[in-house]
Amino acid sequence: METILSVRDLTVAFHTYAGTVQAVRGVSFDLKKGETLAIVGESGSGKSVTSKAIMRLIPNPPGEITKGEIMFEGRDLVKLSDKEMQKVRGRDIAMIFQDPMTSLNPTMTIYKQIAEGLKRHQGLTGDDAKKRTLELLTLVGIPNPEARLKQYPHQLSGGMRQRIVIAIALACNPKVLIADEPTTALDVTIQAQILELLKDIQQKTGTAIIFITHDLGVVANMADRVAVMYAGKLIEKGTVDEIFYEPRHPYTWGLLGSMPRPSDDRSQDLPAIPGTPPNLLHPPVGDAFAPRNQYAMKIDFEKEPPFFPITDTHEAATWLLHPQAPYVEPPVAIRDLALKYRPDSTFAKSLLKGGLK
Amino acid sequence: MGRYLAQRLVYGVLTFLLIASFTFFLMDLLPGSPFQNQEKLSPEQLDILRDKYNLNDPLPQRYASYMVNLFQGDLGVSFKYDSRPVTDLIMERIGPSAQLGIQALVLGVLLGLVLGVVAALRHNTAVDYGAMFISVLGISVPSFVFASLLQYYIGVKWGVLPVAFWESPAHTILPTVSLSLGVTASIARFVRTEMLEVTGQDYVTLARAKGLDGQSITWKHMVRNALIPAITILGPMTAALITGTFVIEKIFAVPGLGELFVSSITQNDYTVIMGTTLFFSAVFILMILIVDILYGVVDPRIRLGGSE
Repeated sequence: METILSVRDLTVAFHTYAGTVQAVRGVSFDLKKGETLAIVGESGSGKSVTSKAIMRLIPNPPGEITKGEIMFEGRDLVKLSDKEMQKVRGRDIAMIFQDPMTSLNPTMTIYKQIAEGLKRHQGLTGDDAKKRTLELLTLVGIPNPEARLKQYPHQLSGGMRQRIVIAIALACNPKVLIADEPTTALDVTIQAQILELLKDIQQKTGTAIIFITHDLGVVANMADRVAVMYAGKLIEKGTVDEIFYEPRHPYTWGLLGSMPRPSDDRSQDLPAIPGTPPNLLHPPVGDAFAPRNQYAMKIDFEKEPPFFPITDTHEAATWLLHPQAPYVEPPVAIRDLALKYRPDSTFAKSLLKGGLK
Repeated sequence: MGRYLAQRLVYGVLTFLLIASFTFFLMDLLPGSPFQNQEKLSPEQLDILRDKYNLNDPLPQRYASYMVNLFQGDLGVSFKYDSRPVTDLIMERIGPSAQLGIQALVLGVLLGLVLGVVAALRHNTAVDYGAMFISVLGISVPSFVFASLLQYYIGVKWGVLPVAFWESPAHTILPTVSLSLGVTASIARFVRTEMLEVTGQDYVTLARAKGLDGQSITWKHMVRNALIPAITILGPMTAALITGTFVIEKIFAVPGLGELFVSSITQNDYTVIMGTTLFFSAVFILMILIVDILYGVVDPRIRLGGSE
């Protein structure tokens, strides 16, 4: 499928009084037309900064894109002037934010907030703008849209407000939609509704979605492909099946292992990854995950692992995939998942044989 | 909305009556008497004078009759200005004071707004530091110092504008500028702080994500939200400005209310003290009410009385 957005070696730094924080340290990924790519990782891993960097919404100062390129339709977004970037934002690439309670302007009517983008990018005013706004409100499933036009954000519930934010994002039929934890601030039933809505919209409009989240359940439900992020870097990329059933990076194992399952023995503690992520003010030498990694080898503390390809769609940055690395046994939860749901995969077979070699 | 307004008006009137009562009793504690050269008067003459102004009546009785007159719009007559009605005196003086106050307010608010917005947008740059320097200067330099400087340079040395008196529009420029300095300074500081607060809000990021240009984001999304808290200080400020500012009026020889108020206190002109105090209170209460209504206009979350 055709690649629509291509991020190469994206590096974002924040200059603070304490020093320079390397929030994103060389991230590369492709987004294909019409697909959903999930970027997962724990808090502070740099997923939000990555998404804001694509929109060039990192406040400068203190933030700065120090390296890399973001290719979109033959242009490098990093190099665009502010004026040129304004034409991309909202028209070609749009964004949905985390907290619907704070992402709408409290002093502006719903109609004005949606129509603003329409006027700016498509020159729609008056009845045309109103017609399109009503269309959008219907698309995002807002009942009685006519009555909502004159209302203010505080008159709507959280779920409704997130629908408005989605309507704003969709206003100009963007080719890429970046959803930065769009359901984190909502309660579970509303979460499910919003996810369904996003899927539905993707089917209707064919927009590609970058879905930022830390919720693996949401990833399984939404994504075609997954990129796992840790300490400002991507560490494993693959299709959703590959990441869930054939994960190769110990950090991905840790994430999946700490996900509760209905079949869990309730008397057992849920496994957690020990330790805390590194301070990106002083990024560690070698693999950033090494200090928390029970499988870490000597080289992990000395040299950063490159990406090792596993399939055409799947790659992981861990020395465990190096031909000279010893075979290690993944956690039981990962093994069970692989053997139960993908017994025929090379990963499952390697588990049974005790290594691929 | 109607019910809310009625309620607020009732509270306003009650507050006004309380102020009237307190002032009346406090004034009775003022030392001295309203009559000049008292020592030259014989006790009999003094007694006749006191009788004329009902000052020999017991305090509660005087209070009662004052309140009754107050309700009829009668503030009594001045002790000093040839027994002229206090209402006439106030009406005569309010014109220049109000004009000066409103001019200074408009100038100060506009200037302060621009200064505050620009400072916030250029946060931590020379522009920001410059604007805040002006602001600190405006707050810490007393208006009379600034007024004297203006008089000396612009009025006397360069002779561009009249030094004093209240005759033509040109006469109003220097006092207006002097008076607006403090307003500019405090509004600028306030707006800057609020703008910086608003800059980090999610809805501003969302506005950026829509692809809006800097101007629209600043004026449509930021300033309006930054203004809401600034409105709070506008009420008392307006009341203070339009009811006369003694120092500026004195320096520029403006025949305003502030001058009347201060001289009435030094001369124990009881009725004028009462009259000007009550007038000031009434304007103050009214301004606060207007500010509350303005809140609802600017911030839809505070539409009064739940008129949803």
